[in-house]
Formats: sequence, structure tokens, C-alpha cells
Amino acid sequence: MLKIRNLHVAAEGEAILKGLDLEVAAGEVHAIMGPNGSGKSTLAAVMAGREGYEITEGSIEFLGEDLAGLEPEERAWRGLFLAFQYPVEIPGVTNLEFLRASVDAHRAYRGEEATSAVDFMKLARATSKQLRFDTDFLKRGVNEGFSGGEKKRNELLQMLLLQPKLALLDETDSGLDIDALQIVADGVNTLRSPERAIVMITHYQRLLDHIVPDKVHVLSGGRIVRSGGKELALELERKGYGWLEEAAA
Amino acid sequence: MAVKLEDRIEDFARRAREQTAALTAPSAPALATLRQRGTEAFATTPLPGAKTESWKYSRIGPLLEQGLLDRPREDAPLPEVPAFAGFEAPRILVVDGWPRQLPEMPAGITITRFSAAEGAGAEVLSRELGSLAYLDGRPFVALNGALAEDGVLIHVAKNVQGGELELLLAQSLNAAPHGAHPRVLVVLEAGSSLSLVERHLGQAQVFTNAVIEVRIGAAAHLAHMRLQLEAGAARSLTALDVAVARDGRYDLQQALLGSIFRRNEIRIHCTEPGAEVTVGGATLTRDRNHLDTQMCLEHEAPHCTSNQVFRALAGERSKTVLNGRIHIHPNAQKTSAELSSRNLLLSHDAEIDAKPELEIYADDVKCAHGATIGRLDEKSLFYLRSRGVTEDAARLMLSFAFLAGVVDAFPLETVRDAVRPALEAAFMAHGMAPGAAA
Repeated sequence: MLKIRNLHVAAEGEAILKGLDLEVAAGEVHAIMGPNGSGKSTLAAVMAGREGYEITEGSIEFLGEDLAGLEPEERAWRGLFLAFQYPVEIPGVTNLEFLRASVDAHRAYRGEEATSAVDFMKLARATSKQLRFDTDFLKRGVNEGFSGGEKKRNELLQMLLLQPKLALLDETDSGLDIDALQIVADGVNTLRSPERAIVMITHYQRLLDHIVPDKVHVLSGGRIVRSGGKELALELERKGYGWLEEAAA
Repeated sequence: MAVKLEDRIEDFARRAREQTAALTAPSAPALATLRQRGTEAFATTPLPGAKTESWKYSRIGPLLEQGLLDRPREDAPLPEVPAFAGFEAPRILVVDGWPRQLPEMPAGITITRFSAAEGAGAEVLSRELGSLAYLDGRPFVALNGALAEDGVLIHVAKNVQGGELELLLAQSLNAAPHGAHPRVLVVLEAGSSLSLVERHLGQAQVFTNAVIEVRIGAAAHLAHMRLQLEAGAARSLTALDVAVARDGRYDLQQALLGSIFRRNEIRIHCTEPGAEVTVGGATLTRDRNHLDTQMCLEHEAPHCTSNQVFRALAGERSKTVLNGRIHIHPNAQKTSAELSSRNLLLSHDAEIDAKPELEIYADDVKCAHGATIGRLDEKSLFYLRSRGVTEDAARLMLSFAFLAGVVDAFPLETVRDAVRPALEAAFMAHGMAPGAAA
């Protein structure tokens, strides 16, 4: 589903990713771990198509298509979803209006008709309930005045409504207390299926107790320096990142 | 070779003077006085030149073209008034400056032509007409008085709740170039109320030089909605002079598009304690259009409040001007005055001039004044696009989120519901929405 080959990415002239390789197949859950500044968030940003990141070498192929030529919305339509580390607050656009525009844009891409207001409201309410997310949040401005945990739940709400093929979670556990983490993890786990893949980007191991990965990769200095099974995460938790960074140097 | 601006201005003034001289004096005394005072003031008040500070951002050129002083016909064909979804109220139709249709109103509300005013109406006119729209240094207000064909008086008697009313300032069908000088006087006696929806219609090359005076009596309340939602070649200059007496309330909400020339001069006087004023402006300019708002809030008495909120979007090569003056007089203690002006440039060639002006002569006041000019937030744009919303749609959503607070402040739901799609349509037209930021 996802094939990243020898990816080099620069931002503001500075090389951040320096030859990253990664393959994710449908049905798999991967975790990418690494210390601060290793390039984790750059990887998420460049996959989603954020401006300001330049691919200087290598490629990202998603479902057989090179992502470099696609606008952010075109990537979304093809089934790529990035759960933001810091979701943006947009006062004046209601959450419901935003969610519906988003779902309808995906439907339009598939050649389907737009949802009716009533049907969409039903769907949004049901999905909110599943996340134990008060439906009042649908009426408020997008993420406006939401707590950290509420913003993350809102990301998940979008994800469940859009049903992406590849979900990319950027530090989704940050800012969550243990109850919220469990809710978010349960939500993500409902998305696990043979047709879908999930890539979690995280600094800490604790999310992986709740969403158990098939594979764990360590990103350091802009490259994957080690890959393994879920036990690698536990090893990192015990030993920190230092030993790998030394080994990579 | 191009004629110098000074010469064109002088030529315009000369032609205008000739025209005032050629008019026959009207028989209605109030109208005769208006004409006479206007004619005298116009003769001695120079038109704004290149160096007139309050006209710094409005070039007078579009008003000076041939034909724009021609007298309007009284019997020109009436325009088709576009439907205004959901809003239905008694309608005053002023076409090319001529009051053409006036509604029948229940007791307590008088709507009459100046020329036909009698009894109490004539008394109100002789007392109030010209008492608010002062002439000093205002050549176009003077010109309006000098050339007004007739005018409309709206009078709501003491303690009468006047309901809703629509005031249409329109151009005639297929209007040829001419000058129109609509004149309106609104008087709310003590304890009365009215919701007035003022719509400007017409896109032809016509110079509409309107003057509207509003007197709000003690504890009276006027909800005034102004809609200038047509762009085009209309040259539109409107002076609005308002006085609010003790515990009176004035609420002005505006949704405005630019045109080849549009300038609104608004002066609101809080003349007695307890007056309360709110002003909102949601504005959008595109193409090469122009929109100049000259706002002046005169706090002349203690314990009054004013709250003004302006949100402006400017695209393509358009220009938006807001001069927001707050003048707090020496005895106006305990005044609370706020003005917030936030502006978004949607293209690199658009221009926004947001100029705050505070003059405070009292020491115990609360006064806040803020103006910002920015562009659409790239992070928000990316967030929406990453969820599949197209760039055009995302720009539209964010731009309207920016205006939403002001549009939501329109006190009549039916008007509010019509404003948003009208602004959206203007936004989407002419390819302004996509990264027109060329």
C-alpha cells in the first residue's frame, strides 16, 4: 500500500529526512518511534502534502501512485488521512459544516451524491457517541476552545467518518490522559481491517500498549535505523534511544 | 492629452452650479429651504481635491464623467427588484432619486414625500430636515440638497412600534447616465421602534448621491440594515447622519460590496446620556472595485456606549478603505467605545487602508480600537485540504468564517439568511476564490 524509497526531504534548506525506506502493506499496523528532532513529524507532513517541504530525492508511492504530484486534497480522496499532532482551531466554521464538507468532498470524488443534512447529522451523532464525544462539539467552531484530548477525539471522529485506507497518526497520544487514550485507541482499533493500514508516529511506547503494532521502526537522524516486532518498542522504553543513535552514527 | 483633474473638478462644479440655477423653486416649503441652503453651500464649498485628507483614498474621478449630473426623469421605467428570500415588509421605492412608491401605513407611522407633506409631517420636516446632515465642508451633501427632486419622510410617533420597513434606493430600468440625489429623513419619536432594511440596487453608470438623516428619540430603537450587494458601474456616495437621544438605541448592520466607486460617510452622534450604538460591517471588494467607509462616532454625552465591528475581504485589484474615527467630547465621561477592524487580503494586488482615529477629551472613558490586516491562515487552509476539501472551497469557508460574526449580528433572520448567499455569490464570481493571488 505504501512504499517509501530512499526519501530525502529538506525544509527551509535543511536536510531532515536522509534516505528513509519504509513499506507498509494493507492490514498492517506500523509504529515509527524516535527521539525529538529525528524527522518523525516531517515524515507525516510530507506525506500529507504540507507546503514548505521539498522532496530532494526518492519517492513516496501510495496505492501505486507517486504522492509528489498530488495536492493535499487529492491525497485525502485516495484514502490517506493524517491525524494532526496539533489540530488547528477554526472559529466561524462549525465542526458539523467542516465534517460534512469533508465527507461530501470524498463522496464527490467517488462519483457519489452529497449526503442529506439529516442523514449526515445522524451519522455524525452516532460516530460521536461511539467516541463518547458530546454531540455539542458538532455545533462548535472546528476545535475552537477544545482541550488537547477533545482535539484528538475530533481527529478520530473525522477519521471514522472518512474511513481512510491509510491512517497516519502523528503523536496522537500526546496530551491524552489514560481514559482518553483508551477511547482513542478503541476507536483506532475499530479501523483495523485487512484492507486498511495504520502508521503511528510516536515518541513514547504507551500508545502501543493499546494499539498493538505488527512492526516497529526506529527513526533517527532522518533514516530508519532499526526495524523489528512489537518487542522492539519495549526495548526502547527500557534503554532509551541513545544506544541506537550511537550505533547509527 | 488627458485633462488635468483640477480642471475636471472645476468643470463639474460649474455644471452643477448651472444646473441648480436652472431648477424652478418647489412649492413645498421644506423642500424649498433644502434646495436653497444646498445651493448656497455648494457655491462656497470646494469639491475635494487631490490633497483633501478625508478623500485621500477615494479618487473622485469616476464621479466627474459627462452625464453624471444630468437630471433624472420622473417617469423612467421602474426596475425589476430582485427577490429577497424570506423578507417581506412594506416597501418604499426610490428610483433615480424620485420617490416612486410609498406604502400605506397604520396610524402612528407616517411615510410621505417631502413635496406632499402636510400637518404633523410638514412640521417634522421643517424642524428636522437638514438639522443632522450639516453642510460645512461637505460639498456633496450640499449638492444633494441643491438637486434633490423630492425626498421621503419616515416618521414613527411616540411609543409606536413600527415593525419592519424596506427602503429601496434603486436605478431605473436600463438607466442612462444621470445624477440621482435621494434624500431620506427618518424620525423616531420617544419610545418608538423600527426595523429598516435599506437596499441599494442598480449597476448602471449612474451617480447616486444619497443623504439619509436619522433622529432617534429618547428610549427609541432603530435597527438599520444596509445592503449594498450589487457591484458594477454604479457611482455611489451615501451620507448617513444619525443622532441618538437619551437611552436611545441605534443598531446599524451592513453587508457591502464595492463598485467602481462607493463611499459611505457615516456620522453617529450620541447626544444624550445612555445612548447605545452598535455598528457592524461585512464587506467584500473584488475586481478593481472600490469601497470607502468613513465612520465617525461622536460621543457628546456621558454614559454612552458604542461598539463597532468591521470585517473586510479584498480580492484581485480592489481597494477597501475604513476610516474609523471615535471622538469623545470633554463632558462625555463614562463613555465606552470600541472599534474592531479586521481585514483579509485575498490577493497580492488588493489594497486595504484601515485607519483608526481616536480623539479623546474626557479622562474617565473606556476606549478600545484595533485594526489588523492579514491573509488567510495557511495552517487552517492545509488542515481543511488534508480532509479532502478543495482549495477553492477551503478559501471560501475560511473567508466566510471571518465574516460570520458580523453577518450573524443582523437582527432579522430573514435578512441574515439572504445576506450570506449574496456575499458567497459575489465571492465566487469572477474567479476571485481560487488563488487569484497572482
